Amino acid sequence: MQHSPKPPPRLADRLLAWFVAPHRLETLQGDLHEEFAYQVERVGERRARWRYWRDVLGFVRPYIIKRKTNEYPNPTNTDMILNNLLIAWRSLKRNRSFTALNVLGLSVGVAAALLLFMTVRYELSFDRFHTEPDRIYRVVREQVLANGDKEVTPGNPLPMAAALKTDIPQFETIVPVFGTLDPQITVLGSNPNATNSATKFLEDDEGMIVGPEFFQLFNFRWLIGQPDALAQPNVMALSKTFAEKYFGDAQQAVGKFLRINNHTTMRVVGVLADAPLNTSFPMNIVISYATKQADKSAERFGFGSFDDWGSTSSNDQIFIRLPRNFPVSSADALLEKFSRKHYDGRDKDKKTHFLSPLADLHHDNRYDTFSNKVAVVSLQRIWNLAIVGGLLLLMACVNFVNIASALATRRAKEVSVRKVLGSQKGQLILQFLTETFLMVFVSLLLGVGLAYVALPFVSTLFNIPAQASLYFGPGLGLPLLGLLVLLTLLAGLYPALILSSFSPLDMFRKQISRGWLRQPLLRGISLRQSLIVFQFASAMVLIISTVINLRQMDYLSRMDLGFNKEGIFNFGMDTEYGTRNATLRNELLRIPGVSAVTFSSDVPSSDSRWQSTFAFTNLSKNEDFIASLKMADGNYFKTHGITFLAGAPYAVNDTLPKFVVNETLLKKLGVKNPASVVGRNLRLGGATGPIVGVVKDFHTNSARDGGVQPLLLTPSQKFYYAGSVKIRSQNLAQTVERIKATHARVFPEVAFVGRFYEESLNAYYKAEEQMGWLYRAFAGLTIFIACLGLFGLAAFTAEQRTKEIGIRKVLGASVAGIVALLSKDFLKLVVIAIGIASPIAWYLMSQWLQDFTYRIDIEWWVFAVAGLLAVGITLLTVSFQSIKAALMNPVKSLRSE
Amino acid sequence: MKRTYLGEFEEIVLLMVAGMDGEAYGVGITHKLNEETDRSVRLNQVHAALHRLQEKGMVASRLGDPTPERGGRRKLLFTVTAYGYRTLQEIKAVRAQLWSTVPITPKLATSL
Repeated sequence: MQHSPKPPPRLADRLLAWFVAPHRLETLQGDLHEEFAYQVERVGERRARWRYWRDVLGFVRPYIIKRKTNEYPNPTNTDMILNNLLIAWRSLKRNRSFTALNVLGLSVGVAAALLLFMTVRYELSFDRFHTEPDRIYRVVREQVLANGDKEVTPGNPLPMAAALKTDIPQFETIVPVFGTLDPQITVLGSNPNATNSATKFLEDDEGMIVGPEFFQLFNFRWLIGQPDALAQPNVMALSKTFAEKYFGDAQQAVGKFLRINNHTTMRVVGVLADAPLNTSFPMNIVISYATKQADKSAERFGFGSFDDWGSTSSNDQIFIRLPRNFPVSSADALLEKFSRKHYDGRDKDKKTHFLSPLADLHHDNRYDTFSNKVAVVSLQRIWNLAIVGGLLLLMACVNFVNIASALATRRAKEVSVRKVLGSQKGQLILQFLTETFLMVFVSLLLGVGLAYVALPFVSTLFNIPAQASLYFGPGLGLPLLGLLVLLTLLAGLYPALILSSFSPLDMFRKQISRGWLRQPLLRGISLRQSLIVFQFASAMVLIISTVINLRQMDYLSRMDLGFNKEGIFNFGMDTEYGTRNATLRNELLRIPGVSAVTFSSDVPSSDSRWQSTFAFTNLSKNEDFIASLKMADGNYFKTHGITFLAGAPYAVNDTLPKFVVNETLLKKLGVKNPASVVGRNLRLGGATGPIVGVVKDFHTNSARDGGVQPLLLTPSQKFYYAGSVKIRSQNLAQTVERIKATHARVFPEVAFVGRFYEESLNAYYKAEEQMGWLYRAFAGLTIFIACLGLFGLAAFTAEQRTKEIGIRKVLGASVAGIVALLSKDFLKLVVIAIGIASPIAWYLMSQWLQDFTYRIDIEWWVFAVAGLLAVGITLLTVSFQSIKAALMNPVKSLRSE
Repeated sequence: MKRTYLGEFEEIVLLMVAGMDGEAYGVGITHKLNEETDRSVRLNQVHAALHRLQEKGMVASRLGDPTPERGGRRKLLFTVTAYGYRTLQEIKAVRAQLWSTVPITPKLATSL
């Protein structure tokens, strides 16, 4: 037969090869092919193919499919791993108490570190959800003052956005933004002309003014309506939450009317999805930018006009998008040229615009943000948290390394026997790593659970939202896996190397002690000691920092601010109804317990900053520094307890320009005698008037922002945003109720929002206070973890030296002597740790204190107290074990098996 | 003594294996069965029977040399074992014994 045989159906053949056990395939397939060839001859190819299929399917039988089992199976990797796991489990169980110490320390460390890393991740996620956030920048400005100081502001003059569009066409999108308006909202409903609506809300840190193009840059989703609707004046959009708050339902809100600050009626044209928590933009009330442009009064939606390059407000900001691969340096060069073109005359070479990345909105505290509700968190601080998290993990690993390498002596025999039976070093390392792995795994599980349970309690401490779903997602899986590997290697590698390098020869020779004790173990001892020093040094740094932090906070809260904050109650005012201020004052003064009332632009020490140039020495030329301004009526000084060095306050109802200045301003002007300036004229913008008084310095800003600024006080009713009442009454709550009622009677249009000054002052230091708590928590945690390790080691040494202690006792050693003997070694290490930690802590804390204008000196006793604390804790930890060892009956410890 | 049960088809296949004297394999047995017994036997039935016989220890298998007509694939060749051969003989003896009791002209049933 010369013709080539017809092949059987390919698919059937493949099916056969798939299901038939490999050892049967060859002969079976051979039979089938032979049969096929025979059938082709007999009945023709077509029918033979059919038969072939039928035959193949006929072989789908268990005995054909079943794979051959090997009579002598090779040990596979899984077998070894299972064996390792079993051995690991047994050895962990044998050293139950040490395992418990390790797992406890590790899981607490993991939980704390997880929370810290979550915080870090959350803080770094701010405004990353916009399209290509790395191409979005904020245009900011640096101003070199005449005295050489540099000032930066996120504010830009109003005409700048339009000028940028023509002058720098390279910028892809240019978006002017105003924020925030802090408006009073009157809900009108469907009737725009309603006059007597009682539904009012005073919104703090809300009210952004943006145009439709804002939404090309930033991804805030519209639920109802389109961004384009914001092209016309007097329209606004609300977030879902706010729409529901005002109108009960988001669907209902569209087309309804609201009145802003009792002066402008707005139509709601859209509803936005609630913005995510990790954004610096408060997007609840969004007013169209056209509204601001149409505002002829130039003061209702922010101040200033669209043709004035002179004045800026930090509320007016500009965001741009750079083209892809456009270097920031070239953009800055363009802005430099732009600045030179637009700032003429006196300001030449002084004001320069440049770009600041979008991320700075959340991380650069030199610039104002739109909302104080979202604290600016500097990158420095975020990295500090990450470092503390890493440190905690490291400390927990150190415990493991210490205890495992201490226990190594116990396992020397096991290792030697294994080696004699043919274990390779690599296999031994693997086995010990498995032990570590098992423990790290359990600790990780416990740690994650602990973090989950703790999150609601500690979210305020970390200043993060408490929703667990934000952090505990599947996204956590990979980092946890990484952590598992990292911790296993970090904690397990060194003990594994030590253990696996014992020589069996030394072990079985009678002089056990010399040979191997000298080699790896002695090295182990010195490493163990340095690790303890490391742990305690870390804990000490945190303890010292905490003490200094607490003292600084205490100092700030007791500091003499130069004004009297006791019993001062502040509330917001609406400048629209300034004409009724006098009525309110008279009505308030009639309330028993109210001793003084004043209206002003802001309270003595506040976050708002009004600043201006002024002229004094030569009335036609501005001084070369900027003064802070406070607009206030004549009762301001009496109400806030500010003392005069010379002159006297102006009258309560004075409206002519008159000025009161502070000491610092005179010092800057070079005036020595305060009395000499009283009666001399001063010019502020277009207004010239006499200086009537000089006040003693009081804090004009929060203490962190440099306390006392050169200050001008002048009456100007238009700017009275704040009312302050001095209460001298035992029943504060009742008096506040009466103030509220009086306010409602005089200003039925205005919602009342008020707070005691002391509360708001404390809020300034919220960030610092929170830091303080964080310090305390972590100082406690590190010391806890360090003590766990120490406890374990002390237990181990006490056990090792049982016989020695027994002999000493028999020979007449006292209990105290033995306790001292056992504690001495550890104490030595802790003292070294104190020596290392003190300068580090001193350096770190003096850096931190630099941020404060008013700060404490770091005193030596802080270090002494922290040191004593550490020594005390060490003694307490160690003595538990050493006393137990010392009290043991020598008969028991010396009895031989 | 526990007798090994041998099915009718198994018995025939075992007889074929014995008859082909070491050269028996799946296709060969199938074709020969089809020719000589006028049955329509399929390959997988034969294979199943051979498998059962091997499990009972009545046949042994070995791999033959590769042959070109099967694409170079080797045959699985079966030989009857001593135990298999004895079983066949026992069956034959039982049958002969039983035959000897049958009269030369037995009464046959007549259909109604």
